[in-house]
Amino acid sequence: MKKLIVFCSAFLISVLAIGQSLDYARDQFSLGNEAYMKGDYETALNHYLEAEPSTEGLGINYNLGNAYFKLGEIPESILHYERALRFDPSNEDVQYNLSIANDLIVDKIEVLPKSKLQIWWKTFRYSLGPDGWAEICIGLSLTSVLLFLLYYFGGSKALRRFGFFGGLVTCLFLVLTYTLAQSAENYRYAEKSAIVFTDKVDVKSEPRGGSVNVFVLHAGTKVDILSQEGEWYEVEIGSGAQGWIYQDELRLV
Amino acid sequence: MKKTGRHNWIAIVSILCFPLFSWGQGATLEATVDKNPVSVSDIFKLKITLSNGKGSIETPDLNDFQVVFGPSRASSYRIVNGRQTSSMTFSYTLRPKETGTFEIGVAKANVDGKILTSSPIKVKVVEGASTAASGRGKSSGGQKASPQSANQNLMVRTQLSKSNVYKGEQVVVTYILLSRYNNIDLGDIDFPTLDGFWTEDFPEQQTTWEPKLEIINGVQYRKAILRQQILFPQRTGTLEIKPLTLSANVNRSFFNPGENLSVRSNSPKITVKALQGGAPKSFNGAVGSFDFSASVDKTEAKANEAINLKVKVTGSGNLKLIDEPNFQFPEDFEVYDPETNDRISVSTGGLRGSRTFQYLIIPRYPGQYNIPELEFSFFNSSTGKYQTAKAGPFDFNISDADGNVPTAGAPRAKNLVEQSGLDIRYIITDANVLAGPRSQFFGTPLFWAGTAGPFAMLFIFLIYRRRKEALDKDVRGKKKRGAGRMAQKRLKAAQAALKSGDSQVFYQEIFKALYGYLGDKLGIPIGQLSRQRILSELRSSGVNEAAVNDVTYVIDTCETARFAPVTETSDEVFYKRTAELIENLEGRLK
Repeated sequence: MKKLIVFCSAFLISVLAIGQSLDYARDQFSLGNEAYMKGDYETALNHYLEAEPSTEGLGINYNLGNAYFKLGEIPESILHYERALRFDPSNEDVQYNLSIANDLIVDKIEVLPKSKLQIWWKTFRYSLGPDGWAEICIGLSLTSVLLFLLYYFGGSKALRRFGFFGGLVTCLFLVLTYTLAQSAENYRYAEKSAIVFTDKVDVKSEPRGGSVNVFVLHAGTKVDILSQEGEWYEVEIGSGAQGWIYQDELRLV
Repeated sequence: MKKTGRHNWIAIVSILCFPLFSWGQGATLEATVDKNPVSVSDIFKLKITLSNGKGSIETPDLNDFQVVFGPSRASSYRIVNGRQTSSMTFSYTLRPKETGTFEIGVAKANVDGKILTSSPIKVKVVEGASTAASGRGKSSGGQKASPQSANQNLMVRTQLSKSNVYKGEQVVVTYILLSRYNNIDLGDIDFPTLDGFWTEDFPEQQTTWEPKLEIINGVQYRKAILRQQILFPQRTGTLEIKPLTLSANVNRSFFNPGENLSVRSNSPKITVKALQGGAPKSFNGAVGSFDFSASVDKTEAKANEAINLKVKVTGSGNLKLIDEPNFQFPEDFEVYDPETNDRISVSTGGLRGSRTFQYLIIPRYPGQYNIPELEFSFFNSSTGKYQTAKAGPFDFNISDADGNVPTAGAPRAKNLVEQSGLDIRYIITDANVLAGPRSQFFGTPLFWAGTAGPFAMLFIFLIYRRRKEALDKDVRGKKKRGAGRMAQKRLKAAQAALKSGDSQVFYQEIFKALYGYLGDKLGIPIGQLSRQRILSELRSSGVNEAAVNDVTYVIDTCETARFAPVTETSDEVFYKRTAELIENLEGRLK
């Protein structure tokens, strides 16, 4: 009983602490917005940075990206736009601003074309985010159980048959939705990409300083991370070219 | 006629007299030597001259030298172009005593109670033979004169007006020729190429000797300016101006082929500072000190009628490097590239003047328009700060062909909306969109409870139901299996009653045995047991009519026996018959 009380109070305190720091983040966010409105981007950026550790999501990263953009720090702004896209890949404002920021960097990469279906699938997969899919999961689970109950207690044969097959199909959808939620979560937290921060980087053929330079990248370019070997990352750019970059030249999205 | 002559005389006299009262530029005291450095075996002259003043001269201490001759005193008095000058000179002829550097101290003069002093002279005494005394001396060595001595009598210098400047700030560079030769023919002059500078040359001039002599280290030189330029540094850091080389032939005369000399100038360095950060948005590279003005020739015009906007930058600085300012014009104005007009002069003060940009503007649609305040920013090199000058704003009333100015709300000709500026979209302003870090619902225990909970409950419910069903089934089975035994027990009780002769109890027991047996066997709860129900259940479970009749008979008999004694059959026979019936049913009701 004592243990339970201790546990409960600890839980409550932690919930309250999160709540408070979130309030703090919101205050800082609003202050930053006021400064941004006046064109004082330096102050706005400081407020956003103050808020950043106690929040996450599209809002804070989008505004950070904008503040960095206005101050001319394009790689930082691209990093934050990419982070914002992790939370909502189909957000038009973020996509638009990212495209403008990308126009200002040195590297223009020929991105391999994607089919309409691929684009639609990606948008669909990440549109709801892990939480949206999770809520659908719960709804489907309840529906399928109700249908199974209908199967057990249904009056007529047709009703019972409907209950059985309906329940099975709903179960199938439940599994699918769960997979989608998991993939959305992976996209948000596990999938690795990075932004180049050094003005000019020689991309190497091997994770070793003296190896052959395969190609050159410049600040602001996004790379996907395939693997890590000690202090080196194996990266791939939009055109499909691969190579190794030293960790200090990058910042992970 | 006579009158006129008199007037002329007065004029002439006043012209003659007036200059008598204008003494040069005040008294000066100068000390000069005729060569420096001097060879130890040589002699040289020291002159101390008091110009334009009268007073006593106190000569310096000359203990470091042997006075060969002097002091000799000379006075002169001249009127040149109506200007009166006088001078008094003390001359010494001196011989050094040993090598080294010696200083000839200051000479002093007391003129009208004011003490004038000359600057001290450092005389360097070196080893070696006698050198050419001066430019005017006989050149015994001819062309073989050592460069050392030539450099002393003929020099070129590069002078800068400033040596520590901001990038883009103007610096005047002057190339000077200093000579002690009377007779000099200038040959090739190789001016340095200036890397890292944008240059503006002074207008070409004939090289002439300056009226005033230049004294360097106590030695007098004639001075001429070879060229002047204005430099605008385009790079930061330390920039060096390469030396100028000049070749000349000196002392040529009818009998003498002269002497060819080649001299190099010094190479001064300029430290160029970068402009500070935080330049205003309208800063366009202008460095210096400027005024800014703008004007339009009309503010009321008809659509498609040209308007002139004149933007003028006046001042001193890198005027020629100023590009057209970037202004924001209304979208419906067609603006042509501006025409640039310069009125710029080059002088020792630097580049000075004005640059005018003339914009031709054609408003395409009637309406009320506004050109917002025009801004021009420059870096003020004297204060080291950016300055922004403003002009305008200008309001225009553009009328249509009939002279009507539509008001703001009135409909007007439509034109395609064009995107003219590219900028990022605005921020998110609602702070409530923020969520705590890792506040994800997916994967939390609550999520799992929500997803798996309903199924778990379904399973628990189903298992519970099945258990209960199984339990129920079990009770009936037991009863069914035990039905025969129960009947046997009851029959035994009936037999006991038969032996004791209690007929009432006997029939009761028989009735109970059969009813209980059939109830258990057919799975009918005790409350629902009735003759009717038993018979229908028996028929539906396929028992033949004889057996059913037997059951009816036994039940009827037992019910009759409750009220009246049974006569038609003996108790023993009835017992046997019932036992046989139960046995028979046991075989059929499996």
